[in-house]
Order: sequence, then C-alpha cells, then structure tokens
Amino acid sequence: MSREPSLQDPLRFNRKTPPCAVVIFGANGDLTKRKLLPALYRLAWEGRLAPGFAIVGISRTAMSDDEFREHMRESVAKYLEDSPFDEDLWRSFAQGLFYMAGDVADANMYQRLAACLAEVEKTRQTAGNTLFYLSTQPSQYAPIAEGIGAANLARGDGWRRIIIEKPFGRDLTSARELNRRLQKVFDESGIYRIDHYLGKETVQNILAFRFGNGIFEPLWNRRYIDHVQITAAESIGVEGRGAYYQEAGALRDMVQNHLLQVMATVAMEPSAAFSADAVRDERAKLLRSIHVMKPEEIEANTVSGQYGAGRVGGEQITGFRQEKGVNPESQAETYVAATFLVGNWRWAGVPFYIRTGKSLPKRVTEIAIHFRSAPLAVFRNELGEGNADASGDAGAPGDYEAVPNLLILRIQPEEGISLKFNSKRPGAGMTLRPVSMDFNYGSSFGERSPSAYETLLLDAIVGDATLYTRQDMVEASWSVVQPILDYWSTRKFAFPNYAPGTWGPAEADEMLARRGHSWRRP
Amino acid sequence: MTPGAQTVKPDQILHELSELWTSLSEQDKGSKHEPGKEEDSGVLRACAMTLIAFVDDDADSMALSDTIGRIMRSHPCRAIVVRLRQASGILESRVFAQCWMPAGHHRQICCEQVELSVSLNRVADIPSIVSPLAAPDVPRVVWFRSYGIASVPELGGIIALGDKMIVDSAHQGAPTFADLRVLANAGCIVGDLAWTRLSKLRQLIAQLLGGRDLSSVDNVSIEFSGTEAVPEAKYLQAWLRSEIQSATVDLRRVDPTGKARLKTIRIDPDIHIQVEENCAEYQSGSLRERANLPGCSEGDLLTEELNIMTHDRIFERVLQRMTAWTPRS
Repeated sequence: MSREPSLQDPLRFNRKTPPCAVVIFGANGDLTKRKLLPALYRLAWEGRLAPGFAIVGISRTAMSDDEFREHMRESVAKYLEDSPFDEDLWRSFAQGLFYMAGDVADANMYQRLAACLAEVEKTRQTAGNTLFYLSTQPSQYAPIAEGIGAANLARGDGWRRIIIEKPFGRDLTSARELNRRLQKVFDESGIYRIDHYLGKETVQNILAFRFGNGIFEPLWNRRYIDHVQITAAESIGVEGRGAYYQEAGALRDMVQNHLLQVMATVAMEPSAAFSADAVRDERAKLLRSIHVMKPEEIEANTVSGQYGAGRVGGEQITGFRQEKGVNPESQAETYVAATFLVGNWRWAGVPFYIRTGKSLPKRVTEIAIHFRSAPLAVFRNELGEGNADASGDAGAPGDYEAVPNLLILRIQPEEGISLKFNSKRPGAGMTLRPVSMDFNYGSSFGERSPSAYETLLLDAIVGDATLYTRQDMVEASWSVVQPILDYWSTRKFAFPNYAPGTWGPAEADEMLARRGHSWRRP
Repeated sequence: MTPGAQTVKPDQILHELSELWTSLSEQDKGSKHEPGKEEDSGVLRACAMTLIAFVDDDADSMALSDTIGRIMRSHPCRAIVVRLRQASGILESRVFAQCWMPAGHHRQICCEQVELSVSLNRVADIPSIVSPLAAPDVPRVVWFRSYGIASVPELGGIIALGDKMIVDSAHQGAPTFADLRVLANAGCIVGDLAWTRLSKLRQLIAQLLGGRDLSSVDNVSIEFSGTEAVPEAKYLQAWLRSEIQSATVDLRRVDPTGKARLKTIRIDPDIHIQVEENCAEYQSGSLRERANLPGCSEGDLLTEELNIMTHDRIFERVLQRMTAWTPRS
C-alpha cells in the first residue's frame, strides 16, 4: 500500500497546529497580561504555534501596535513562569502582535476588526482561521458575539471559534439566555467555555489514573467506596476582589463550575473513546445524575459560611464585611460545604462532600476517596484499640477498629496521588499502622508541566474541546446549584460564622457527623 | 566500593543499593526534626526504567552527571554506568544516589546509580553482572556513549541486555548506519541522537510545508560546512527523499573550512531556513521569522529517545535510505 506523504512524525512532533489569528477582547486586562500572553509566548518558545501565528488585541485604551507590543513584552517577561525569556524570539513573536483600540459596543469597531483580520490573513498567512477570546466582563459576552456575527466575522474562510471565561451566567435562566445568544452566532462546536481547572495536568491525570489502569476501576463504586470528599481551600481572603465576590459568592464562583466538573471527572463512566464529545457526554451524564435537592433537603445538606476578622500567625486579618466594596451586612458566602448524591447504579447512596472557602488554614485542592473498612478487623491498630492482651495477641475477630484505606488525588499545590493502607508495625506483635504510598507528579517527573492556559489555548487552536465545558454541562450544573441559591436567598445567615485560619463553620462538621463521617484535615 | 577487586557480585551491589536507601531514609528522618521543615517531607524513590550507559574512561564525569540528572526528571531510572578502562583486569563497582529537590517542593527525589569500571578485556563479564542489576518489570535501555564500544567482539551480548539501544552517530567510533540498519532489520529498537537532534528542525519544515501540495516541490538543497556532511545532514536528506518523493534533494558543501554542521535548507520555490545554534531564521513567502529549536543538550536528546520505546517506523525507513554519499561542491 502506498503511503500518503505528510512530513508528520507523531512520535516526535508536537500536535500539528493550524495557522491562525487570536483576537483578544480585553487585551489590556489582567488575564491577558498574566496568563494569556505568557502562555502563548511559551507555546511559541516550544515551537508549538504555526509560522505566521498572529494576535490582535482589542481594548478601549488608545495604543499603537508598538506600544501594545512593549506592554506585552513587559508582562510576558514579568509573568512567564518556569521559562526563559528570549529577547530574540520575542522580537520575532512580536511581529505577529497587532492592536486595535475600540469600544465593544460600537458596531464600527467590528468593521475595522474585519479589515484588520483581512490584512493579517494576507501578511501572516493565517488562512482565515480565527479564535476570538473574550477576556472581558461577562455582561459583554453576548454583545461581543453579536457584534462579531453582525460584521460577518463568525463565518468565512477557515474556522472561527470563540472562547469565553466563567461565569457562564449568574443562574440557570441567564446561562440559558447566554447560550441562546452565543449559538445564534456560533455553532455549539465553535464555542469553547473555558474552565481552567479542567486544564490542570492533575485533573487530566484523574482520567489517566482511572481509565489507564485496570486495578482501580473495579473498586470505583458504591460497593467499595464509602464516601468522597472534594476540598478546594484558599488560605487568603478575597484580597481586593470583595465587590466581585459579594455578587458571586463561593457557590457560583467555585462549586457551579470547577468543583462540579472535578466531581464529574471523578465519578463519570468511562467513555468509549478519548474524543471531545465522548468524554463530555459522560461528564454531562454524570452532572445530570446528581440529585437536585428539594428545599427541605438543602438545610441538612448544605452549609454557608463567611469569615470574620481575626488573627492568623500574628497577622490581623480583615473580615469579609470589612473589605473594600463589601456591604457591611453582606450575605455573600465565602465558604460552602455541600453533600451531593448521585442517582445512578455506580454511586447510589455514596455521599460526595464538597467544600470550598476563603481564609481557611491552607491552600489545598484535593479529592479524598474513602474506601469502606475491611469487613472483619482481626488486627489491633496503632492506637491499641480493641481487647488484645498485653502480649499483643489478637483478640476475637471483629474486636478492633480498622483504619479504612484512603486514596488522595491532590490537585494543588503538590500534584500527586497517595494511597493510605495498613502495614504491620516493625517488631514483635501484630499491630497495624497506616502508611502512605505517594506518587508526586511534580517530583516523580521533574519536567515542567504546561500551565492550564497553555493546554487549553492549544486545544482550542487545534479544535479539541475535550477539556472545555459544553452547553448541556453548564446547564446541568446550574440545575444542581440553582435550588440552593434560591433557598439561601430566602434566609438570613448569622454571618460571620467562622474565624479566618479555621476549617469553616461548625455546621460543616455536623453535616458530615450526621452520616457518621468527618472531614479530612489535608 | 570494592577497590581493586577482580570480581563483582551483583547480590552485593543490590545489598549496597538497599543500604543506600535505608541511609537516605535515616538522613531524612534526622532532618525532619530541624525547625521549619515540613512534617511530610521525605525521600521519594522512583524508577521507571533501567538505563545502562557505556562510557569511556576519560568521559567528563560532570557532563555525564548533568545528562543523567536531566534524564531523571522525566525518566526516573536505575542508571548503571559502565566505564570502559584501557588498563587490563579491572572490574570494580560502587553505588550512589542522585538526589535533587525540585523547585517549589519540599520532598527530594532520589534515583540510584551503579557505576562499574571494567577493562576492555573484561567486557565479556558485563552481561552477567548487569542483567541481575536491572530493575524488574521496567524497560531497559542501552546507551552507547563510548566511542570504542562498537568494535568490541562481545557487542551482541551487550545489545541483548536492552529493549532499546541508543547511539550517537555524530561521534567518531560510533556504530555505522549499516550497523544500525542490521540491528533494526533484526527487530532491535534503535535510536540515534544524530537523528533526534533533527526533530525540532524537521517539525519546522513540516509546519512550513503544511497545507502545501508536496508533489509541487521540485528541489530541496541542504547546505553544510566542514569537510564532510555531518550525520544530521545525511539523515535530513534521507528523510526528505523519503517524504517528498517528487523532489531532488541535494547535499551541498558551502564552507569546507568551517565547523562541520548543517547550515541552510532551501526548499523551492520560496522557503529558506538558516540553521543557527538552538534556533533557526526562516523565510517563507513574505514571512520572515525566527523559531526556537530548544532541547539539543545530550540530556534533552536522550529524554526524547527514552519517550519512544516502540519501533520508530519513520526513523527505520530513513535508516534504510542511508547510503554512501559523495558531496557536490
């Protein structure tokens, strides 16, 4: 059989990327400076972008192309992580940077953008491929998409895609409305809703861990797993983002998107293939399987918290209500804990506890899978529990408290996996103690991991939406969260209800205690 | 270490390795009591393969250590370094650990290393020593960094130690293309760092020609300096001949007195690539840009080769095309 000449070498080359222009709305904003440009520059450094790659930045500030390039050079040099900054490469990269000042509400701006993109296509040979990145206020997403559509920029030579950042709506109704307006301009396959948690190397590694190994999946169900705890803790407070946080709250900011997506990754069924739609179908199916709480269930299965003022490590911490821009009577939650149940055969009856909060004792994001105890505990544990005699001889089977196995999937700060199991303590007697077997992603592989934005931007350029959320996933997660938001809006919480530097309100511990569980202290 | 010993017992080396880990663990326990240390610090032991490296006696130890350290970051392994000595009768061993603390982490990672010093007249003893030292259940890779190893008569037994064999044909005394072809034809997985050195450049060429009809390319010219074409130039010619069968692919010497290296690639009608150290300046139509070609240290090249533990069909196809060559001046 004759071979089609291609010049490609999949064993050695990076994924083939098409030439394209990335249009960034909000090009003078923090996200562009801190994340997007450093990620794109790093991709260029690694030779992952096609020759002629171009960026068109748009914001209200008047600037020339050269001024924009200089601003971006400063940002990339400042915010580039774990990478060298090469002036010569930057000069070459910067040739592809262009800037347009404009108001996104001005229809003429989109006509000027059309002319600019036509020129870029000619000089940079981008083949018309265009990725629009909306790094703006969420309220501008739909108007910008409509502006793009009205100027006929959503169709034409090459492909056209649009990336939007969370939040995807403020509630289920607004999320549906946003989707409706976006889909009037772009096909769903061209809409990339970014959830940077899904771009994290370790979140992707959960899929590799579950579906690339034969030994875990048979245990991954209600028969062997007692419960699951997902924790996303921040040690800092809102740090100047009080006004935003007051509107959003932890449930909207973290649970509706990141944590439910992580839960879906942990609990989804294996997909038939590792393709965008196959993986997202399974995630969506899991999200739709989460039991939607009735008002009478919400009281017992959710906890809302807000931190007050206090001292941590000798430092005075400002309470949330004392933050700039925050209403002194604010009812916004800086802490959420919730118990979710999944209504399918695999997970029926297994509680998934999710908690997230600001001003907690440490910054950590992890998933803890608590396995059921051994059915019969015949050994004494390290605490000496049970009725073994002084010589250490075992008593009757079943007398002792076994320490259940625990599998920890750490997402940050030290990505890795730990399995806790019981082992005999050295010496005479048969006493068990838990030991930890660790796999540390960052140090077992000392290689630099790509940032979430590098991964996700490259995926959007090659048209791989596996790690992006889809309309049905967004709406399914809003369906889970909306009744909680509605119920909470009818209540007046006695905030603040936890001190900074603690693990949140006591009610969160009580919520687990009612099911005979307790929070793990990461 | 067993100085001057004429025999080396693998069991003894394995025992020394075990003691090494015990001592590392004890050192770590001691350090835990230091104020300011994290409670959960510790030594992490990792092993994803066995690397058996043959090096010459006069090999630069620091450079070798850098290379192995670089590999360990993506391929934590048990490294068995066989240092080939000219003096006769020598057979010695020592074990040690290579540890480092990755930036931002508080747990150091350690990989074990066994160094064997072996006289050329004792090379036949190597397989029986190295085979039991290899870590179980993980791949074994033999890397010939020694210039003289290709000529030893016991090479067959040594090659059989590994699942893959890696050479660098840019080094004098390395196995020839014909040797590699014989091994590849016999089903052996082979790698050549001279070929690996081309990956980024080949990728750039593939990007520049992406979307074009390759049958419209008539002529490719590869220019080099030095008295003879470096293996990289020959590999590039063979690859392009294999992939663009309609084109004439010429090798041209442009600077006989210059340092032997690849200089320029011209692809008709309008692509011109000037190769520099770690980068390339290229022109494609109206585009004139610079591309980074990182990852050319020995450690980077080996890392790429260790990523590929299957038959590399493209390389094997190119190897079949490697022929005797006469330059056009």
